[in-house]
Amino acid sequence: MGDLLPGFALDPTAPEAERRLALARWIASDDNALTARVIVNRIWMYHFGRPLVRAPSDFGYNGGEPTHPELLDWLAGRLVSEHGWRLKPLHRDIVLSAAYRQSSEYREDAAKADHDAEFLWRFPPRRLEAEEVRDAVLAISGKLDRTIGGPGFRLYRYTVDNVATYYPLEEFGPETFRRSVYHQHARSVKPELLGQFDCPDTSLPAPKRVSTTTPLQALSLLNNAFLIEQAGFFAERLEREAGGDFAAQVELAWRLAFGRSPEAEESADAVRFVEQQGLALFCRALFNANELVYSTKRPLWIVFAALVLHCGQAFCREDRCDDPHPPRFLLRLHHRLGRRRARVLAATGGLGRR
Amino acid sequence: MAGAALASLLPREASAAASGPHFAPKAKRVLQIFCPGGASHIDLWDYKPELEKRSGEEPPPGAQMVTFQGKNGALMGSPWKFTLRGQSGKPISELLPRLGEHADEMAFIHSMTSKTNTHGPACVFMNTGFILEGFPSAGSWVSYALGSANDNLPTYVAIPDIRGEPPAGPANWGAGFLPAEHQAIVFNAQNPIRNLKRPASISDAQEEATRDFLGRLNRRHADEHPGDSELRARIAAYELAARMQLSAPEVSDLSKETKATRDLYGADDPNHLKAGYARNCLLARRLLERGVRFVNLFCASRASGVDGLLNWDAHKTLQADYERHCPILDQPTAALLTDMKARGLLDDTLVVWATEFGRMPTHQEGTVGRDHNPNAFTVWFAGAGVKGGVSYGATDEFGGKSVENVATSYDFHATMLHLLGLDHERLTWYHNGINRRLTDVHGHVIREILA
Repeated sequence: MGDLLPGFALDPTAPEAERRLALARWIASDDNALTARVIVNRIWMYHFGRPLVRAPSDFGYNGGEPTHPELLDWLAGRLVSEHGWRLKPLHRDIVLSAAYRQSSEYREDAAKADHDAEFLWRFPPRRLEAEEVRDAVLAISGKLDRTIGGPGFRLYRYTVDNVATYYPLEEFGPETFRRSVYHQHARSVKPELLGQFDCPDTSLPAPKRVSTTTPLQALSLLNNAFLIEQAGFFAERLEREAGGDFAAQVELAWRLAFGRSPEAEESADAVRFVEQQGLALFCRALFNANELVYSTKRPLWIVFAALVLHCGQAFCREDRCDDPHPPRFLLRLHHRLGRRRARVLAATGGLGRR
Repeated sequence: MAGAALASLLPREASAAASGPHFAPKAKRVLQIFCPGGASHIDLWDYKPELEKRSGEEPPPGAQMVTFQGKNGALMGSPWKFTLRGQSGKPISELLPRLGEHADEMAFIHSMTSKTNTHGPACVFMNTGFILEGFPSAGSWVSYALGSANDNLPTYVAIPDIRGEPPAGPANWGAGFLPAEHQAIVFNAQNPIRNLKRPASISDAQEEATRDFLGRLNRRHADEHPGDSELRARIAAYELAARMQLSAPEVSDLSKETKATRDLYGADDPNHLKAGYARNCLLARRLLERGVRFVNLFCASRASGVDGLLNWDAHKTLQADYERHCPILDQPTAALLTDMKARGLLDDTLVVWATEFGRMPTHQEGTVGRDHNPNAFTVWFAGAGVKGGVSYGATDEFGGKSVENVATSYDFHATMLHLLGLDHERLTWYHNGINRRLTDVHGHVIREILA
């Protein structure tokens, strides 16, 4: 250690507390580039869905080389010298970047050179993560409980005799309509919707999630009692907020679920479906649409997320906006990052509405 | 869309390439029969004449072992007779008359050991190679290595007992850090796959109209994003789900079996626990027949408030407990082996029987039961690539401790993977800085039991 950074040499007989303190100081030293690179890499991963160094917990010989070494070092350097280890300015650096703000639009020529967009010729499209899927459903149905803090909730019941046995809930009360981040996980028991969408087992650390596509996800989104019930709430919401006109209901549904208006052809098809099969089945279908669980367009809704994050507020799918012409207040926020303003908007629920 | 095409569309995390076997396999699929609770080797498979002779005596000095629930009392011979079975003349307990008929097909490993004497971690250890929860189960590794052999059914199925889940429940069949597609799909003859059926309030016509509408939505969206193969993979997953909705009820429909077959298994036995397990055995055969890679079939469930009632955990009343459990296990499991053999399934299916640990050669003080024993237990292999009628390893004269060719779950799994054409040292997944294996950094193929 003494060889790596001066000032951390220890007497071989130093007591444990002193050793731990020296280690902590070494880890958090401004001269230790490793710590800053690791956290920068992780935060980049949370925003882009993939890290700059593919193995987020392993730098060095075991970890693979960064795709953008200069960028990693530039951000790590700023984190230490400009931001004094504060993470919010780092988030800001990332979400204001051109790389972050670009579209996910596919380009054949670019894909030929760099199929997976490792070098970020587009914003990499990604499937929503498990919690985002569940929260999106609740937000769209209008049932999401945005209470911050407080005791968590459980999507299982359990019995104990010697050992605990867990049973998935069959009925879901409003106490479970909170953001998934408040779910109280039991070791090795993945609530089915979350587990099926790759929410990791809480038994082991999971620096990076995998993203799979399985028939069980389809069966759950189609038939799980939670989804069926939420589709009913979504239908009620459409009637309540858009009135009895089918076209208006479809318009609102598209905006809530996909963050855009339907095109004429889509609207006609959807109106026909609502006429014949009713709103609840229509809402059930939308919960299963690819467009809902994949972000493949302009990821402005993530910008929103970041903005709200700045204010320490919850974000959810309702705050998403994929419009090619984003609303003016979003741009204003986007450019000026008026923090207080964003906080007021978020607190009053103004962010999701136009 | 064919399964292979679907698999190629699903995004795969970069890791050590896992595409098919490393060398020519003997087995294409695995049936694991797991008896949770710590099934007593001394009373089922591991004949100990010396223990019988000295039953009632104090164990010799130095033979004392760490107990789990209470102090150990005197040596206790098995209350049941052992008879020589098959050409191989293998002594097997009279509690398992039907399974004894298959003695010449079985390769016993009598020298198994566990790292723990606690049910949950020990079950997880035998199923994942780790005591801590969160590691992929053997079936998940096999799913990851070999993929699906059936377009319409899951690759890996766990069949919990009619009495409930085993200790540590889903940790026994979870995918750990492997992608979620490799976790077992859980169902049995009593409970179908969750969410398989649409709600009763939705009619056939409504379901069809919904699928058509959703199909149009998704195709239009995919057409606008030609470069994003995940979108087409997800459409394919919905198609696979629809096929599963047809094929899973078909595979679970045991009414298609003849009366002779049902009677062979005991599927209509008046003992409803036996009939329940028998139906799960039938279900297992139907799944294997249709190409499911790994079936994890459980006989008994978690520990109950009353030890030994719901599983093989005979702490206090060994005789009553095993006279309850063995008839449930014996006929259906033997029938499964007979039936698989008749259908040629044993030629390319590996069958393993396992439990999480064994039991003490002594009685538990103040009781007529046996305490947990992680130092000695028996498992057996049968079927594809297995030399029948052999025994590997041995416990001491009382069955208290494995002493000859001591084996572990790592060896058990290394041998299982070997028969599937997989090198346990090369089947890896990079996680948290290490190329993880089912066998951690251990394991030797037990070649003595290979055909």
